[in-house]
This record gives sequence, structure tokens and C-alpha cells, in this order.
Amino acid sequence: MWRIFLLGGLLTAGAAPALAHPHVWIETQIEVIVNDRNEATALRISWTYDDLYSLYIVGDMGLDPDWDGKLTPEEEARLSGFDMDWDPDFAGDIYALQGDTPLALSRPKDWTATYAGEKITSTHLRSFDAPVPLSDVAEAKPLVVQAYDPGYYVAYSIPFDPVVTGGAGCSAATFVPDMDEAQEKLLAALSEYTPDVDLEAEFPAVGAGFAEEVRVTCSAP
Amino acid sequence: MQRAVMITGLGLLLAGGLLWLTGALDGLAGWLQAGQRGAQDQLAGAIRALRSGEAGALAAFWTVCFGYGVLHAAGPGHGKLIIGGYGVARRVPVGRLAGLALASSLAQAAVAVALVYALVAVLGLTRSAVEGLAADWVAPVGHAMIAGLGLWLVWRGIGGLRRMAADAGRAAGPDHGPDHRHGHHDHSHDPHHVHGPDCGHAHGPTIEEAARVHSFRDGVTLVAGIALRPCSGALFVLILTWQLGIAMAGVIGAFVMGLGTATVTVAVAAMAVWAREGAFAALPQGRVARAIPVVEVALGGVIAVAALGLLVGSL
Repeated sequence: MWRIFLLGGLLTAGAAPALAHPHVWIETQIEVIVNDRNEATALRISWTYDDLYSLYIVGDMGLDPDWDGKLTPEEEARLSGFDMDWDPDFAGDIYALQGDTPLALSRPKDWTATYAGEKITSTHLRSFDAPVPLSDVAEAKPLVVQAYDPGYYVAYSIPFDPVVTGGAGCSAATFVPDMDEAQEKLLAALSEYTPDVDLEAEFPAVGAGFAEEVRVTCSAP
Repeated sequence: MQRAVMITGLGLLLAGGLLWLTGALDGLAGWLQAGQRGAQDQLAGAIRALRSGEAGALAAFWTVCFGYGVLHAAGPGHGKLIIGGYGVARRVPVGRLAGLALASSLAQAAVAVALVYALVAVLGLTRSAVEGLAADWVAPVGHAMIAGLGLWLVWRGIGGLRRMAADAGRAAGPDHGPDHRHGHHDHSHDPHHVHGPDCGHAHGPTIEEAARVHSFRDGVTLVAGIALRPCSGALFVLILTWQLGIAMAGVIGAFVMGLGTATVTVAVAAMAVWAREGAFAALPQGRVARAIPVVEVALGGVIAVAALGLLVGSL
């Protein structure tokens, strides 16, 4: 019996796409900014919204009244920042990790927005609270940047190749989750549950298993 | 021993059904998502075509709305959990449950229309105000109603279990027939009534009426609980069409979306009733009577926990 209750609880705990399905699709590009000591200092995130959501935002803001799919520079200036008014508890749907350690990121800054090909693309910059060493041979843990919405209202993908700006001998690659493996992890987490496990703490790791991610490493400087 | 086997089997059936309902076992998830994404883009294209006044654009727009509704309902969602869970937990005729599923899909569209037109068109509020109100007030009320329905099922189930324990203390009577079972439960609100081994006298019209009242209240709660979580797709379409000056096309589009959603929720309703009746038919009558409160507690618990999770998440 507890298993059924647990199942309901787990599935609604938020991380898995349980009682939600996406209504907005965002294609993400991740640029990692590296200093000359091969430490990552910031991420520039680019979000390209799906056609409908782009149309919805542009229409709602009264931009592009002639519907030619182009905005004037003034209109783009008005559009800029439309998605940057974040609630204090919104994590930006970007999660940076090194090994198992989550890395703190600043609030967004230096944002832009453009409208082209019937899609809005916005960019913003987020700094790491502390520079992240990328060529620590002893550690040899890549910087991982994941893009996902824990509530699964937005479906993120990372179709664009990641970019590394600066540093020496650094490279970044995108990893798409093995959905079967992620499902297995979820089921394993369900079957291994014991009452003393803190679900809130344990569960996001399973949810992140469904996320696409960028991994960044540098050779020794 | 046999009872343990039965309950395990039932549990497995429920867990399997739940996994299916919530999409955790859904091998088609990726395919569905691609479909939803495609419908999203097509909807944008259809609205653009409407704007430029292409021939046949309206019919194409409504067709895409219907498809959008079907695809979004086919993914995991609260409506299917509630309809399916309720259909398994309570013995409800398939026609009525299907009707409730259809009603809740259309009511969901009506809520979206009311929200957009009351707030945007009449009060002149912005899109983000509508989204905020939908997320901060309307949806939580719906979640609270669903949680209440789940807790009520649990409460009924616990009452049934207690009565069963009390009955077990007396001599075992003949196996209960299905009609008896129904009356037995609904009668539980009369504390003075004592069940004898032959419960024939209990089936007066007042009990049937009481059952109907409960069903009616359940139905209203169910429909309202589902409807009060307006679909974002409908909000997008309504706001866009309003700005384009083709409000009526958008309102009809929202209801067509609701009909698309209903195709799936009605199917879930039918499957839930079928699974329940099928599982019970496979069991000896006496065991069925004993399984009912267990199922009520389990499914009520799932619905309550899920709704409370949504409620906490939406606050």
C-alpha cells in the first residue's frame, strides 16, 4: 500500500514530468566563458522560443503590428528583457555542477532579445559565484551545465553546439540523456525507496537524468 | 493468503495503471512530445494564415486546435489521473464517467475563455496578469477541490474497512451481491443502521437518493477540479485571436481543443471502469466486497497526494 502512496507522492514531487507536459519549447545554446587560468567564470545562455510562444509574446506586447516577422530596433529594445523578470526563487532552469557539487550562479544580466524567422531568441549572462577550475587534473571532473524546468512547463533542448570562449585546450560537448536509462533510474529510485530517504533531496537527481547537458573540460594549461 | 495474493495483484494492477496514466511507463513519451511540439508550430502557422486571410484558414485552425487537444491530453496530466483514479475507486457507470470527462474538458475551455475575456478584454489586464491569476489562484482552488475529493474517498474507504472489521466479528453472512455492496457503502452515513447478514431492507429509495447526491457532488467537484486548471495552449490561442480581432474563432478553437482533450479523457474513463469491473469479475464476490474499501483508500490517497503535491507546487 505504501508503495502506491509513495508513487503518487514521488510522481508529484516535482522533478519528473509527472502530472505536467510542456507548453513551451526552448532551444538552448550554452556559451562557457573561461579566463586565462582555465577557470569558467560565466555562462551565456541563449533561448530560442517555439513559434507559438514567440507569436504570443510578440502579439501580446503589440510588437510587429504589420506581421512581417521583423522588428524595428526600437521594438527589439522593448522586447529585450521580457523573460528576465525572474521570481526570487526561480533558478533560471540552468543547473551547473562539477562532480556532484552544484555551482552557484548569479542573477541574469546583459540580456538581449531578437525576433527572426518567426522565433524570439533571448540571451543573458550568469556569472559563477566562484571561478570553476576546468583543468584540475587531480579532480578531472568536467563542468556540467544542464537545461531543464523541474516543473516541466518548458521543454528545453540543446540542439546548438556549445561554445567555449577563452581558455586554452578547452572543449565542450552536448550529451542527450539515454531515456531508457533515465526511466530505469526513476524506477530503481522507486523500488529502492526506504522511509528514511529524504525524497525532496533525492529526487531532483532523477529528474535531471532526463535533461540534456553540456560538459566542459580543459587540458592542463 | 489468498487475500494477500488478491491485494498484491490488485496493487500491481493499480500501480501499472497509474504508471500508464501518469506516463511513467510511457515509451511513447518522446514521440508524443515531438507531436506536441509539431502541433505547437502548426498552431502558430494556422494563426498566421488566419491573420493573412488565407482561404480555408479557419477550418485548418480548428483542425489544429482539435489535434493540439488530443496530443496534449495524451501526455501525462491531472485530468486523466483524476478521472481514472475516481473510476477505479468508485463504482460509477461508464456513461456517467465519460460524461463527466467530456464535461470537464469543455468546462476547462470555458474557464480559459472566462479568464481571458473577463481579465484581458473587460478589465484590460495584461497577459502576465492572466497567467499569474491562473497559476496563483484558479489552479490552487482546483487542486484543493481534488485533494478534498481524494481525502473523501480515503475517509469512505476507512469507514468501509472499519465496518468490515466489525462484520468480521459477527458470523459471516452470505456473500454480498453487487447492489448490496453499493448500498452498503452509501448507507454508511447513517450511524444507527446496523447491517444484518441479510441486508435487503436497506435498499430504500432514500439510500439511492443519497447515493445520487454523493455522485452529483463528486461529479461537480471532479469537473470543477479539472476545469480550474486552464490549459496554457487555450490561453495562448485566446489571447492571440483576441488581438487579431477574430475572438470568436479563438473561443470556438478553445472548445474544439476541449473536445480533442475529451477524446482521451473519455477513453481513460472507459478503461478505468473496464479495469475495475474486469478485476472484480475475476474475484469471488465476497472478496470483491472486501477489496472495495482498500481500493477507495488507495486511489483516494493517490488522488489526494497528487493534488496536494500540485497545490503545494502552485502556491
